Amino acid sequence: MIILSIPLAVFFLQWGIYDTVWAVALMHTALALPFVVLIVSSVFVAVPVELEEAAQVFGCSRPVAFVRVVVPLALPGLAAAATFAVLTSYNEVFAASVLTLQNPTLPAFVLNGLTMAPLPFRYAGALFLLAPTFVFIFLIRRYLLGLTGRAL
Amino acid sequence: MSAIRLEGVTKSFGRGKVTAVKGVDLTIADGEFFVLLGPSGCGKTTLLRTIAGLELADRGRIRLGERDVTHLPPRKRDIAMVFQSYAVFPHLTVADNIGFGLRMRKQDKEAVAEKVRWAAELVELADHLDRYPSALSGGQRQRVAVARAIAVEPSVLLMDEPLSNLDALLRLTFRSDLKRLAKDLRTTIVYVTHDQAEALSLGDRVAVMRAGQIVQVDAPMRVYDHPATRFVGGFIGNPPMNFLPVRVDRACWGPRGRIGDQDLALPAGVAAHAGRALLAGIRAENLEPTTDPTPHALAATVRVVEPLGSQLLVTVVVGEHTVKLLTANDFPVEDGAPLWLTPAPDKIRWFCPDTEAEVTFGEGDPGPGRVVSAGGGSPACPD
Repeated sequence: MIILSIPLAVFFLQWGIYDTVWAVALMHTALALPFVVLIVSSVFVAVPVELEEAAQVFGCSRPVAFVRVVVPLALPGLAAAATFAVLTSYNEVFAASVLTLQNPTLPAFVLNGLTMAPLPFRYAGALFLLAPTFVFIFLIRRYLLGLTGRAL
Repeated sequence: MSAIRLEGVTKSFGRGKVTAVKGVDLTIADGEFFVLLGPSGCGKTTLLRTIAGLELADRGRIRLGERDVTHLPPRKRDIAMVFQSYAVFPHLTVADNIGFGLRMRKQDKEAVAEKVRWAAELVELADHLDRYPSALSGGQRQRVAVARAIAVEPSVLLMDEPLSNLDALLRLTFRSDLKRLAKDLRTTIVYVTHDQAEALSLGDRVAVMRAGQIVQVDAPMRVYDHPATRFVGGFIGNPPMNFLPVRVDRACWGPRGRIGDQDLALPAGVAAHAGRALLAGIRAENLEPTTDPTPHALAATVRVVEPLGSQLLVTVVVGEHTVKLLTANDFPVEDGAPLWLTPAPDKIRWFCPDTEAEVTFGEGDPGPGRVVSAGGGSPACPD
């Protein structure tokens, strides 16, 4: 990634998206995508075909059957993939630091701001960085993974 | 409620490599309980899925009532289906499951609720409407699947081995419930099964399939008593029909049947065909065993005795042929003992050894709906 970072920065400068949300978003999507594809594809494969066929027999077209039956059943798995993607992005500071100047991500901002700070401040910064992840995980568990009880 | 007409329906998979259904012509009457029976892999489920629209036929036409539905997607065919694996939606309550089809048909809330209650009461699920399927037993889930199908009041109800995932006892109760339900609803039902007991007990008519083709379409008892081919006789019945090669010889006092070096009394019609080789099909319950030597009986030796509770299943050897017979559970028989078998002459069915089709000899009507022509009085069997 260190090798990639220079050409990436050059490209993003040329495209005019350097130091924007889009630059970091593109980079982090590229990082998370392979694993998310793996997780999500296995999640969709796990939904029985018969359920989709039953939906079609009882009045759904294929897209409607997907939305009304497959997506609700895949939701816990999709939530897991989403959690992974968010944490990958949140955990990533190198690309976020290289590709931004004025608009870094929160972890990149904290990291850059505290490199020269005394140790207690750095610990405090790390502690506060934990808070959003806790909130996110709590929400995911509460509203999405909780559905597993009635899944398949 | 409508009749189904299939005209030359053909379906193959893997770019024509495997032909699952080969040119099936079939007419199913309005309100009929029609059973497709066959061993696994014979194409019966593919045929059902083609009627449902989950598979599109490569060739042929499918008509439901007056409508040609050959190219319509499932949702436009006005059908409902019960799947082997139930396919009950796990993320919806029982009530929402049953009402799924109705809500997709944009019926208003009260009408849906009313129909859901009606369907749930028919399958005795009215107390479980708020539950999720994960809280139900297998039998209850299958009831949900059946209720979901009847709630939309389809013109054709398709069932793909709905009982095969239930345990034996539940299957028996559910079978009679299903028969009563079918009587009440008077919907055209196409029911796929590999279980001959289900086929015989449920169907108004039974179609026996083999290798993508229909071998025989008849009333259940007709299929059992008059199998159109050796395959049907061997597939239906528990144990399957016994087959013995018989040579019709002309002896000085008249024709007689020979099985190995033993004599078999022949009915008058068969006796006229001296010199022919035939295959005699005899059901296990139509062989009368005796422990003492009996005139005109086949001498046999007992190999295995299997008590089945109400009956004994006895495997014997006649000459070089293995024969299974059923007898009363108090019949005195033991391994290795000699036994004499008297077949009921009018219960013997005759088959051509080459074509394996049933051969009739002018006595009695070969029956309507026979696909493989066995020929009344003029058997299409080379002498």
